Amino acid sequence: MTEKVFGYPRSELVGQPIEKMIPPHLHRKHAVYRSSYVNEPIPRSMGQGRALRGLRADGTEFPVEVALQPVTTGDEQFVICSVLDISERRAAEREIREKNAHLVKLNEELTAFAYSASHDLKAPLATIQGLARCIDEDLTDGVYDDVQKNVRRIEALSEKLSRLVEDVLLTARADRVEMVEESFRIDERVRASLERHVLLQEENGVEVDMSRVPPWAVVSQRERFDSVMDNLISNALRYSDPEKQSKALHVEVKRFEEGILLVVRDNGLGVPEDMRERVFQMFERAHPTVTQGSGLGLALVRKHAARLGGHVELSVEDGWTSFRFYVPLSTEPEEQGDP
Amino acid sequence: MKTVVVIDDSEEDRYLVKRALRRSEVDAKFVEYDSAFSALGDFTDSHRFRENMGAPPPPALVLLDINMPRLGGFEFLERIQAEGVAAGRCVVVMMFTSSNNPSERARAAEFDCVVDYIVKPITAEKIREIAERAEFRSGAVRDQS
Repeated sequence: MTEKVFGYPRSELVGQPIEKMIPPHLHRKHAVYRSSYVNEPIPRSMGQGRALRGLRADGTEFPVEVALQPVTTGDEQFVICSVLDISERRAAEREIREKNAHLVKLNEELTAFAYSASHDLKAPLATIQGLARCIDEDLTDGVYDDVQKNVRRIEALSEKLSRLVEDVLLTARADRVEMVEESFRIDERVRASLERHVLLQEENGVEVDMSRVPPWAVVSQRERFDSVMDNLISNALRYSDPEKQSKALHVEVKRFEEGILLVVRDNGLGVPEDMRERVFQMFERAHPTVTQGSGLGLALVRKHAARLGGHVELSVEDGWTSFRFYVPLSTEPEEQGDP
Repeated sequence: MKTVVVIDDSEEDRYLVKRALRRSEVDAKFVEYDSAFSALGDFTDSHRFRENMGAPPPPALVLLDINMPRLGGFEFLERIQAEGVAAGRCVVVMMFTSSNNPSERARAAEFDCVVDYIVKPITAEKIREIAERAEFRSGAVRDQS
């Protein structure tokens, strides 16, 4: 058993000092403990409360638990050491700690979410209720001027609320669901996302440049990548600056460390300095005048980034707002020819 | 004449206040802001304040939404309180929100200038009721000055 745990053949262990199986940095202390044990040999476990380490033949260390049992034969004193490899137990403990920390974080998010939902989901409902009462009053009074307008308002608010609920579900899903890794062309995904927003682009008159998106095939979670593209592109288009003569949106993809960096830049309204961190939180919106947003888009982008092992950054310089999305990849991007 | 100020990013909710005010037959000037930011300029500049709200007595009633983009109702109150506006010009603020959250009620109660917490949607009856109280309040403050 000792041979198996420490990785030595029996012949290499018999007659050797016990220090052979202890990491060198612990030798000095161990010598002191050993001599003090010999002075007072009682059956007990070793080094209670301390993290004990064993040393394998290949030089690797592992956590151990050791029980000591003094044995006297004639006038000779021996100590039987029962050594237990507790690597697995330690790993399980670590896993429990990590899962616990994750649960604490999820719970905090849930509290924040419930708080926000009490405003953002309830607000349109309260307004709908108020508008319905107006219609009722007007019908009773026989004053029809506002009735149709208020019906339209109720319709628009219901639609907004329904989109909001959808976004909430998407955000919840982003955290829970494991998404599959697959190979996809980055340039194709960017183009597809731009096509999904072509109406918004034409409406707001934004010039789009994706010439710096190389035709790379990458392996990643395409669904998350699509959602990130959709959110960053629709933000850039919706928050374009109506005062500007030429409105621009640039998408760029390049290598970065062990992965890729996706940059979405626009010369739109920008994000005020006091909001640059807050926009990534749920239900936070930077611009009172642009009202279509649910305030969940960037929270979702940040969740995706975290699940992909990357992160997302925002910077505003010289009238340009840039979102940088870093994604580590396990395999190199592959250059593809024109389709 | 009194003034009713509503600070709310929702166009529909401002419409509902305006309408409830009309139906309540309370005689008051109606001033609206679509963000706490735009209101902040008027509340912290005494000249603009007089121009927009009328000569003293100051606004009888400010209906302030809690949840607005960028600058929320509570942040707005902190800002005007820091500038001494609320105390100096006795702005009577009612928090105006869709949330019936107890912790927000408690937070609202901590501000001296907040006298009520109204859960949306607002009604003409509610406007009448608070207008009576607001009149009492502004009168009381005027006596002190």
